[in-house]
Amino acid sequence: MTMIDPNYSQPTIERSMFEAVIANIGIGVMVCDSDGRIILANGSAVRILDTRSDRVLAASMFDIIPSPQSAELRAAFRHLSRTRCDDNAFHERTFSIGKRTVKCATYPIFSTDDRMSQAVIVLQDITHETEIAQAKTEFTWMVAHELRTPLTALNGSIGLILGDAAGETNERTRSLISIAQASCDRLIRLLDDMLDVAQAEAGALRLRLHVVSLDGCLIRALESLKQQADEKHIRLVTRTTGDVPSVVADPDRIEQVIVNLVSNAIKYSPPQSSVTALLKRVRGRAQIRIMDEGPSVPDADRERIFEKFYRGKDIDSPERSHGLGLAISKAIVEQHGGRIYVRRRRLGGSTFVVDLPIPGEDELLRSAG
Amino acid sequence: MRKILIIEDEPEIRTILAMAVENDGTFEAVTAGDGPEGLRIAQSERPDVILMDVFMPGMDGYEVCRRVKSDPALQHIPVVLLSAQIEHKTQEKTREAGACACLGKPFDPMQLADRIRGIIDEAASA
Repeated sequence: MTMIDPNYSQPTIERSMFEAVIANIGIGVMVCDSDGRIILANGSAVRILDTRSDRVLAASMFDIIPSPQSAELRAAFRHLSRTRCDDNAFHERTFSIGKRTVKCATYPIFSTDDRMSQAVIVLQDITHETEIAQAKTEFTWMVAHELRTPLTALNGSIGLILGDAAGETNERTRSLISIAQASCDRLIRLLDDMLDVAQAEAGALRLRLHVVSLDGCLIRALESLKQQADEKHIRLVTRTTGDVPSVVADPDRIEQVIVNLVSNAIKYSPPQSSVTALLKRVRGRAQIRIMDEGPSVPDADRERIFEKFYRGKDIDSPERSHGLGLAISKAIVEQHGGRIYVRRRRLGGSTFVVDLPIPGEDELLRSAG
Repeated sequence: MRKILIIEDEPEIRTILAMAVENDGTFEAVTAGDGPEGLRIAQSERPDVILMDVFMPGMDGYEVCRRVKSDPALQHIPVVLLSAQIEHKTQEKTREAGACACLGKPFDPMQLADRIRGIIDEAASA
């Protein structure tokens, strides 16, 4: 939200301030009309697009952005122009423009009749960040490989002893070796999760995209958690409201997100309570909501719980966790072009919301083919 | 008893692999510490199956597999790969090299012999 001191709130002063801010920020900003004709572009946008300022104004945005990215932007523009006034409507993609990696976000401006009249395009040159992330991913892969070798030896030795391949073991030895195995399993899971996070942060998480029915993902995820819920006497409930359309997604990854969220909900819920998974279509997007009856996530932690290894001060974790599940879930959802967030429930508990875009018919046909 | 050739550069893992596959009495293991030694032993021992690591210094598992598959005397031997890095292209590279499957590390040692039996039986019936 922009705040202006009322003493300075006069049209000419506001305009000068606005122009100075737009001209001097390091982020590229362009404004287009509903046909994509550029009506404003700052210096950073011209620099990021590697063009000249006299070529930008009045040109079509789809001619300025190189193909094939421009075709995708045109489709996103078409989709936004059909959207009615909605605070959540936006399109974000990372493109390569020449040697630059550019994050391009398009936000519609709605006129009084709820139709898109203009759009603001925000361009961020993230080349340097992408290179660092790439180097970090390569380093993590190398470390993970180096750690996997001793872990394979450890896991293999423990497995052979517990399987009596080296002769029978007494009860006390078995109990100690079982502790070693549980710790070894934990390390392997941690390593797998670290790799997932590193890949996702670098935008290198490989997604095998298909047309996916979300209720199928939900059913499979909940089945795998039935035992965990039963042990804590927690009822798992699924609800679908209306027709939830198919999405284009990696079903294994979406299932992984649901498992993370429901498993957390079970951990933090009191015994004899319910965890509800709801599928819903909201403003042209598909939503998965996981609702629990445990303590609500404090306001101060709502954003930060999706950070790696973050543990809120006021969040009591009843069971040990390494704090990567939500970070992985966020990365997976964002790589699908979606959003994940948490809300406080009115009568106590939290609702985690996964909001995914619903593809157009063209995209559905392409993904099905 | 079926003869299995294990090619693995890490001595500790080589020992565990040999114990794991011999555990239920179906396999008798012979081992090699790198690709060229593995190819020599494959020629002299003519194993029923080869189990080998992908990432080895010098000659990697894919290359050893390609050489096995291009040798008329060895090409009938099913090859199972092992890798600590199962990624997007692993299955494609496995198929291209002519191996039956690529198993991930770490593995469950008490199920390894069963898995290898399943893989080679499936390959034989295909």
